[in-house]
Amino acid sequence: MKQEENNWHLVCNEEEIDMDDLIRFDFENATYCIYKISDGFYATDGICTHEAVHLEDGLVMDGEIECPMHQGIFDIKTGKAKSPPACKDLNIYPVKSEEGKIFIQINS
Amino acid sequence: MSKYTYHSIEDQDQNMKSWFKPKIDPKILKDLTKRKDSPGWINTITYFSILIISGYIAFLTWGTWWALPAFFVYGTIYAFSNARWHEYGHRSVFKTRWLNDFFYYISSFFSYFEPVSWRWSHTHHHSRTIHQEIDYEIQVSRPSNLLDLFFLDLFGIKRVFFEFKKIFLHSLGIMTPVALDCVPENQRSKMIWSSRIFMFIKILVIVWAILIESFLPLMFIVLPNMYGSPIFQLTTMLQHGGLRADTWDHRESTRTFIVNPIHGWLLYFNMQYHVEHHLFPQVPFYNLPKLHKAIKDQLPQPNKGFIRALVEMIPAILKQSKDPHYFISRNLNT
Repeated sequence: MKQEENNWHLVCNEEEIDMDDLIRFDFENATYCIYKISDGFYATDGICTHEAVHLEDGLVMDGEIECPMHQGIFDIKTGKAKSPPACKDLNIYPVKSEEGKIFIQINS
Repeated sequence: MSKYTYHSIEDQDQNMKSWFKPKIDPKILKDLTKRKDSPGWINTITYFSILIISGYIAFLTWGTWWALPAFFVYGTIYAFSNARWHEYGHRSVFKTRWLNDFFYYISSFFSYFEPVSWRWSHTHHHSRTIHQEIDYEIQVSRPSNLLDLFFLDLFGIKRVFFEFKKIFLHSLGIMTPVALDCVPENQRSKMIWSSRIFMFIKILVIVWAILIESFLPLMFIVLPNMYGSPIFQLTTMLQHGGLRADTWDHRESTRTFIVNPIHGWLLYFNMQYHVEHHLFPQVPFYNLPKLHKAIKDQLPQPNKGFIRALVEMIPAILKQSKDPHYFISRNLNT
């Protein structure tokens, strides 16, 4: 499959993301986070909705991402803001794994 | 002074610069960020045990001269609950998230903080650390007000009065500047109800004291934030006192100092590693000494001891009372 087909973009190899961790992916002036948790790979916006803080240094725990600056919490699967100071949800994006490679679908 | 006008929480991304971040291996940072319950429990149980034991001893001495040192010890331990409010508020003490929130509400009550508005104003403090007229948690104003710092604040008088007034106004639905600037509109009703509950409990304690015709309830619940506050106030004053304002480098505005484990780990939740805390607020208290070791070559030398840190800070604050532009300059080429 071509990487750009249907707006699917290659992020990295599967093994580059540790369990309960994330990797940052920058594409066309936007930042995304791709997570590996026990039941698969997921993707959200890479910047906290509370302030312009990158989530890449955040803590992934129990299927949630905690912002490293103010500890706002989001659900990784739904993007839902679960705890203040985060009030606005993160956008989520489809992710798939093919032949050991991770792809994210971004409709620009 | 800051070069921009602050409007509201919704606009706070405007003119936001990047804070200095030291170099650290992302894997090491991730490991230091990981949460555990056991260090939080050990600290929390130890703290509340010594609070209860010292309170019981103080109770036994009531009516004798021994009550003076006994209540001083109890009040000092009680006043350090403020550090608990801070650390539980960062949700990093326990891995189990609801435990952080549970103890956050308890320690907010102990330290006379309404939890909703303070959670928001503290996020603001981390975004705009010691940026004048924007950060609501500046303890040492410019020029410094010596009467405030070394009398009214030292005994928590101004703080308790200010908090009482703020909680009272919020309980009536009247918004103070802190609420308008820091608390989003959709969170304000939560803050108003939280303020009402706090007012109700405080009034209950006062009524209890009147009914039993004794100061004891006040000595145990309301007043320790005042009579027990001097050591705590001096400790927190060290966080930023005498250092540079309006900078985007926490190494210039914030102080790390080394103290004994009773003062530092037990009472102060390791917030003596304050530069490290501001650089990486997600790192829990029990990993701050390890974080300090990992990045200390990029930080100014910490003050070795509480007294030595005061000896550095107090003359600077005295100078700042006359020269608001004075600050202790840090060597950043360490």
